[in-house]
Amino acid sequence: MGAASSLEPLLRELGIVFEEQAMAKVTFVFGASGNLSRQIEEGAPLDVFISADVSFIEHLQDSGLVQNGSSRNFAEGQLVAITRLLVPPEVSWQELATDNRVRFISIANPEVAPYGHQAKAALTGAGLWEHVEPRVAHGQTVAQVFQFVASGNADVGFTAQSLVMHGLPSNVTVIPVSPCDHGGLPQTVVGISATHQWELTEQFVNFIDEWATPEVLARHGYGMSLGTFEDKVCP
Amino acid sequence: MSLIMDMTALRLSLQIASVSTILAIIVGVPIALLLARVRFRGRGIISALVLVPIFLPPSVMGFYLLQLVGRQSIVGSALERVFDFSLVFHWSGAVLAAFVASTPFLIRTAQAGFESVDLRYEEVARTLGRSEVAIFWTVTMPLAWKALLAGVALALARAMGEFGATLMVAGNIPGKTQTMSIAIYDAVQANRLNDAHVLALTLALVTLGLLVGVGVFARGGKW
Repeated sequence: MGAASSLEPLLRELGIVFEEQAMAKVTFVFGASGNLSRQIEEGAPLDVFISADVSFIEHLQDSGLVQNGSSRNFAEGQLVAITRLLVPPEVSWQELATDNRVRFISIANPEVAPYGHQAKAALTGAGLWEHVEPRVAHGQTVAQVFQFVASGNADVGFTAQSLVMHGLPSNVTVIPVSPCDHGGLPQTVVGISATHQWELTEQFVNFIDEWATPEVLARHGYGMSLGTFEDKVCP
Repeated sequence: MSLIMDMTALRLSLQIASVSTILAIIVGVPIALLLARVRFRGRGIISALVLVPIFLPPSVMGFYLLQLVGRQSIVGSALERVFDFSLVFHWSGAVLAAFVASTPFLIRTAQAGFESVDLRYEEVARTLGRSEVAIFWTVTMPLAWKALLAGVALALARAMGEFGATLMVAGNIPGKTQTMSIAIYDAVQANRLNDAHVLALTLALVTLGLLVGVGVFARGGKW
């Protein structure tokens, strides 16, 4: 199974449970969703693809590489702003982004990383992009963004909640960014049509959907899937 | 990506590689000479230590450079306090990364060049009453010149291709710290393969041109 690196802790736990239940061995290949999707196009022997970016799934669907009806949005990624600056507890991410102590704001490369893309969307939507753009420093991944902030090199960063669940330095403050501000980050699983393991693949796709209860997801820094985002009512 | 952006990336690469190579010459040549000429305890260890940036993975080196000059480090916080300046996320950070990555190539090659100079020539000059500085410029340098230029060419080539450490220290800011190498990586990541091919070909041709130029210069203008 090819899976987005940001999902690793969640999928490791899920993998153990699934192996017991299905009496099958699961091997995960973790990487950037974009790289994995390109490898699938080139014929990588993967049975399942779990992507942090739904656009790659859509791309594979268009190329006929995905099993019909196997796609499930099983979780919602949570974008957060993190900072080492001393801020009041009720500060909003918009206030943080425009704080005049900020020299550098780090986001993951919006061209390739879904969390970076949505961070840019949130900043643009709030009319702040023009203001922050001169201060933006791209990380290649949300993990690098986290490193930039944790090491004190960037003052503010936009990263994934799933990365700040464990071992967060005490001087880092986490401020949630509502999915309404950026349009959502569906985490999607699909079966690959080239698989020789049709039944097992189907079993896994259904299993992940059942297993991903709100409690499990919350423990790993994810929310319940919002389904098709346009249906969701945002204030 | 627009053509203008490509040109900025190329200009940045050239700017960073030139400054880094000049620094590599200023710092590397004296170290090479020291290692080649002065017998001191621990010379073998220093000679090997110089090669650390070659065998350490660039991104790991970048990580430690970030620790060393980052905004919370002693160096970084002093720079920011006194000059309101940050190496991190700035093209000078990319110069530092390229300098550290490329100087070992110059040092090792120049050291071998200095070591291959027959010491008797220098001694003859000394008996004729030449000063050490004059001996260096009129005897050692002309004899070690080609090895030195080979070292410069290696350092320049390495600086043009530097990627991992640059990404860590200078980030990836289009128009500010996004060099050709990083722009190529970005284009591949974003599945803009045509852009990637154009950028890679440009980087290859420009760097080849520079290296041919250094070679022609080494042969005194002869092709």
